[in-house]
Parts: sequence; C-alpha cells; structure tokens
Amino acid sequence: MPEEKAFDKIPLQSNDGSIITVDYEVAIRSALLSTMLDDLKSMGVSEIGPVPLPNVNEAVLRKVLEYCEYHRNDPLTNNEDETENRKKTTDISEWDQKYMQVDQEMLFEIILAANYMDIKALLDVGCKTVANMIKGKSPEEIRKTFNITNDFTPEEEEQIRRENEWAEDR
Amino acid sequence: MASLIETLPSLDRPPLYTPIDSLPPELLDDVFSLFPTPALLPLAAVNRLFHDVIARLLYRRLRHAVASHTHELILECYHPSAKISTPYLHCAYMGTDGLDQATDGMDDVPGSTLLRLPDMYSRFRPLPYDDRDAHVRNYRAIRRTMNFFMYSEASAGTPGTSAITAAKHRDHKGAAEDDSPPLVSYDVYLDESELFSQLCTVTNLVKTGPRRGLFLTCANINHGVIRVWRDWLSRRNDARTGEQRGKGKGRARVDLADPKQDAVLWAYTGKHVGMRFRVTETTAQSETAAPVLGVASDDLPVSYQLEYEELVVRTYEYLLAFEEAEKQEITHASTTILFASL
Repeated sequence: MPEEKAFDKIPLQSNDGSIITVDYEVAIRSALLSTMLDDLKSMGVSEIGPVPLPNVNEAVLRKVLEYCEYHRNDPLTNNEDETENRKKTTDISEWDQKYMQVDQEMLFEIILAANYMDIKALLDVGCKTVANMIKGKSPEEIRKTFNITNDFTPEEEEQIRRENEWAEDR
Repeated sequence: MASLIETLPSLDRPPLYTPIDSLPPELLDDVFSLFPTPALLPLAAVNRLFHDVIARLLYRRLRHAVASHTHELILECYHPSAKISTPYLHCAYMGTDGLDQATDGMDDVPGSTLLRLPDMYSRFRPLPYDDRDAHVRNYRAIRRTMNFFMYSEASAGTPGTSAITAAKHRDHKGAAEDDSPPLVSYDVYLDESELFSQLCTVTNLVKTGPRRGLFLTCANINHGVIRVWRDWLSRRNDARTGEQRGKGKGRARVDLADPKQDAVLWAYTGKHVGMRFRVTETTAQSETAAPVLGVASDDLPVSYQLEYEELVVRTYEYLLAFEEAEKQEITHASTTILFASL
C-alpha cells in the first residue's frame, strides 16, 4: 500500500471518555482499526478525530495498547497461517506471560477487547492463558478456579458420568 | 515453557464472581480448540455451557476428520498364515450415521454428540486392488492357496485351505446392484469339524504421499482378530437368501448398538472396528452330498465366500487416529508400504 502517512497519530476514545493517542503502527495491530483507516485513506480523508471504541474502558484499552506497542514491529501474519499455528501449542512467550499476569476480570476483558478490536495475536495469547489455567485440572478444580457453578440436574449429572466413564475405559 | 499457572499466583486465587461467564460461547470455543480431543472430553463435566460448547466442537472435529480428503483409511485383512502375501486395501468412506445427516428437525444433533459418541460408527467400503498398481500385479503373481491353521482342538490335524480373491462383485453376480464400488471377497473353507476361521484385521489411517503406496503419516486404529464361526456363516447365508427372496435389496441398516445383531463381526473387544460380510455358501455339491448315512452332523467341510460389504470404525477412534496422524512429522523417507501388522 502506498505509504502516505496520512495518519501519524490515531486518537482512540474509550467508552468512559478518555482519549489515548497512539502511533499508526500501534493502531494497525487491530484489524478493526486497520480496515477503518484504510477505508478513510481511500476516501481521501486526511484528518481524523477520536475513534470511539464503545466496548472498551480506559483501563482495558491502556492494557491492550501496551501489548500493541510492544508488538508494533511484529510481522502482520496472514490469518490462515496464524490459525494453523495457534492450534499447535499452548506456549506463550516470556513477555506475553508477564503481560498476562492480571486478575481474571482483566484477563477476560482483554480477551473480549482483543476479539472486538480484532487483534488476533492478543486474542490468541488470551485464549492460551485460559487454556493453561484449565489444563490438567479436574472439573471440580476448574469450577473452583473460575468460580463456576455446577448447574447440571441430577439426571444430567448421571449422563455426564456415563459419558466420561465410556471415554475413559473404552 | 513453564505453565502459566506456576508463575501467576494472581490467577490461582478464585474470584468472587465469575468473569469467565463474560466470554461468549465462540470465544470459549477458541479456548477449547487448543485441546486435543482426549483432554477435551473430561472438561464437559464442568457445567452446561462447557458441555454444550465442547459437544459442538467435537461434532465439528468428527465431521472434519471423516470428510478430510487428505487422509485415507487402509485395511489389511488376512488369515494369520497369509500375512505377508495379502495386500492392503484402500477404503472408500460411505458415511456416518448421526453425523452426515442434515441437522433437521427439533433434535439438537451437535449438542448430543457426547451422548451418542460410543455408538457413532463410520462406514467404509474396502476397494478392490487397482489393476494399474504394480504392487497388485506382483501380488497376483504370487497368489497361491494357503494353508489354514486352526485353533480348535478337534481339528488340530486337519488344516483347511483358503484363497483370497479380488473377484469383482458384478463379474459373477451378474446384475449390477448399484453404483457403489464392487466388493472385495474372501473365500473361507472349513474342513470337517473345523468350527471357525480367523481373520486378522489391521486398520490404519494414512496420508498418502506424492505416489501411491508412499505414506507420509500413518496412525494405527486397530489390530485385531475376527473369528468367523461355522454356525455364523450358515446363519448369515440363510439370512441373505431370505432377504433376497423377500424383497431383493431390502438391506436393512444394521443397528450397531444392538448387542444381539450379528451382521457385523468385531475385531476383538472394544468394538472399535468391525466387518460386515455378505455370506454366500459355495460348498460344492459333491462335498455336501458325500456322507449320506443320515448322520446329522453339522461339521462337514464347507466353503463360503465372504464379500466385504463394510468396514465399520467407531468414529471417535477414527478422530483420535486423525489427530495422531496430524501430529506426526512428515518424514517417512522410506518407500516401504508395509506399515503393519505385528
């Protein structure tokens, strides 16, 4: 794409009103923003006002942008390769691991924001983090970890037991 | 890399409410997609949402596995004495009950996948060897009659004989039944007092390489032995002639979950893999007519032709082999085609 550098700085507006301005390279980690900016460029728009992100609050937006800032120079891989690779492993790079050291509320908000802003790599890291929290735990331990209520009826419970038994000693 | 849990004390503390509830099912699905199927199934016991998302994911995986054109099922089915000389057969996918059907009506088909998993089978048809394949010609050149050895004590001294033929169904049956591929057949001879014959079955899921006969990956589904009993042969032969008299091709779908059904012979326990044979008695008149002294013996020499109507494989086993094959490195330098049979 012709690099006109129409937008050097992109102001982003969280749902609680704060405006955070980021570099173009940081903003386009988000496919949502990248597509939007491309569209504006092709329409000949050169000035841009704050871009509203109604699903993301300031704290989460700052956290998400921290990720984008750190990874601003990563190659933007095409989606299919990425989907192939992400299935293969639940390994996470060291920086990303540290980045994900947040409470569960923030963790799930990051995942939701990454999904909404279409930041595949971040969504990926978020899902892997959750997968690692689940991995190797019994259902009861998983319920405890995530504060999940067992909402099966006794009949369903019985069915689940039979399903599991079969899978174990087939 | 160390699991995150060890490094993140904050994640281990259970929250007071349930943030994971904020994830829509499609994101939960993304999380579960990271798990291989055997690790995935126990997670369905957590709650209804997990159960539902996992059942649907499993449904998609099963469909993907059986519909994949990159992998192929191959069958080796031989008498123990004919292990080396029996070639493997490619199998054509014929369908999976409860998986291929359109999800019409009120029944939530994907949602009940876990419940139906034990009884879900995929059907395959073993294909005759292709004449264009060199290894087939080689095989035919060395084809010979082979001795059976029997395990039954009564018949220890009287081995029967058997030969495998790749006869095409239409060639000798005349009237072509339908467009389905011709059947491979196998001739069984039971000598006097022989109660059963055995067939080893080995099924593998392979990814074929640039040339036929060269496999890039190979995941075993099963090694087993099928016992073909004398009384079973007679029963199935009668059943087939009965069907023919009745209404031609009224070939009823076999209910594999029914323990009383005997159309399918299973290769050992577990019911992972079974064969459905069409049985036709080929005992020569002279043989049957010989000992006529009014002896009500059922154990005269008999011969039958078994046609391989279907190879049935539990779809879950197929999926596991598929995942195994995907994991395997694409490094089979050797051109050998005998992945096989211990």
